[in-house]
Amino acid sequence: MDFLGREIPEIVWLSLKISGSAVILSSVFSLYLALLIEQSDFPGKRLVLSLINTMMTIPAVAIGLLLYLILMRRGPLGGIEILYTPYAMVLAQAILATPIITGLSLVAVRGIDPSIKDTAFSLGASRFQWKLLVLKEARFALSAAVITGFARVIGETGMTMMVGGNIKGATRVMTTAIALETMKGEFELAITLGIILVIVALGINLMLHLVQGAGKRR
Amino acid sequence: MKIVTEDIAKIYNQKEVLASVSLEMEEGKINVILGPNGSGKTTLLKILNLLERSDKGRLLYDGEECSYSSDSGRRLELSRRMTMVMQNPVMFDATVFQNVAYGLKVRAEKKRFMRQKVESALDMVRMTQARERRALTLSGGEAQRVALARALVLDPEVIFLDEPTNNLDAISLRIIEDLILRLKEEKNTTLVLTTHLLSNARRWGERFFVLREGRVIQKGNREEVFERPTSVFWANYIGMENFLSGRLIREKEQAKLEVNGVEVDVVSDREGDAYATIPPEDILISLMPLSSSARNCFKGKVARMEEDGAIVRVKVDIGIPLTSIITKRSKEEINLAEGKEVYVTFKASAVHVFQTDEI
Repeated sequence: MDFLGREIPEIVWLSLKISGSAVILSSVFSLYLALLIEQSDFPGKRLVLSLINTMMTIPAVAIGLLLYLILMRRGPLGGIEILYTPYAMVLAQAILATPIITGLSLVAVRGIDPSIKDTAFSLGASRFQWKLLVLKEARFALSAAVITGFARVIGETGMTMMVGGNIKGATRVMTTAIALETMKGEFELAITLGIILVIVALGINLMLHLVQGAGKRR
Repeated sequence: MKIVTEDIAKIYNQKEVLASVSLEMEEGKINVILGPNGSGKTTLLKILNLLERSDKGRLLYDGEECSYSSDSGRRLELSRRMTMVMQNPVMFDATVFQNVAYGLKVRAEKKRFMRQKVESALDMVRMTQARERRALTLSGGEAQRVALARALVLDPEVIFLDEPTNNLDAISLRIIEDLILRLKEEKNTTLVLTTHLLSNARRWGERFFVLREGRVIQKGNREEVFERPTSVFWANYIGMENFLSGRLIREKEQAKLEVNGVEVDVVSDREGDAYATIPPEDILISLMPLSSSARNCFKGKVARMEEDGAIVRVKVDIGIPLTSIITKRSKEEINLAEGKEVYVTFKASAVHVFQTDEI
């Protein structure tokens, strides 16, 4: 049970770090994108919306494969040499989370009463201040979008393994470790990590419930 | 601030919502935009408050031109001198205090100043006790009051109020009415409000603009707009009685309006199809023909009488129905009854004539 002392905290911490970074990165981009799409009218807006919806269901392995091809030594971005590093994993997870967070954020900002815009402007808000107000008004639904994005990436295995490589002490995260240890027959480690992953998942769900509950109580 | 619009037009989905609207909103006055629902009142307010683009025309604020499409810095600077209270105000998902403070916050005002201003605005609308309440839990009337406080706190030069008295409880209505009058008197604020209800507007308004299907069909002061309508539509809207439709003819020096064979003496220098109204209080009823300077005296029969407190509305048929208002005492003194023969008398100048092309 030596792994309990060193290996597991390391793996859990790396998992949270990678998925956390990916979601932060994706959230900044997604919230900006959602506001941009919602607050402007342009030809092809409907097409963009359905593209985002389609992207929400894209299989993670497809993203893994594509990113692998781009980042491998002979690939177009092979020179930056991030394949099999946490950076590639963060990038892959951010790409996976972006359509989900963008799509749900769009639903969130669309749920805001359109009169809020006129009200804010008539009270003297600038365009930037109005954007901030929209984020604030939609904060509960937006938090739910971010939490959902995090839940999606923390449990992701195949894609993470493809671009991260499951290197012990470097890119081994909970899901990839469980897969590997199970294949090796090392059930102790796999089960322990599995329990921790379930606890994390439960924690995320609990947060989601709390956020949605707070939203409903308003 | 004085606001002038020149030839403003707005088109939504190929429908003309506003057409050639030219008005002057006077500084420190209560300017009222009247008209039925869907006549373009709200759109006009939004254009004036630079919340919407107009498709044509010019907007002048104290003589300076600005519009929705102007440079955003200039637009922001100007729009911060005005504010609007919407018909169904939306509250931000925050406390009442935070809602009222929003306009000051976006202007980066100091916290202490902000607190003082918000407290005083809440006091003006009598909502101090609700300071920490979530604004989304307010009732319609309370939200309307907080929305007004949200505007008042900014000390704007112009306040646009869209249907401020719609669906209000009696207390909120009184508070808002008082405030409108105080604002004008104490702060010289230019008020521009819309309403489809006449009674309140008639009481406080100073300048009136009548909007119908996006066009200004009449403007002027209280007397001009409420006593001398220039269109059938408006005459009907304000409940003008004794509404006549006929033809203007001239006999020697005298103009007459011929309605269903009855010739009514009027004051007009025109001819042709025309409409006219006679205020019921200008029509006298007597049992004998009156010898007076009034040019119109007709014999008729009392068709109906409706008592309403101390007054009686008497409908007399002289070939055309005319309504007169008399007191209950007069009715009793001349012993008026339905079917009785009477004389109605009114001056030619009491007949307000307008022509069909003004409709």
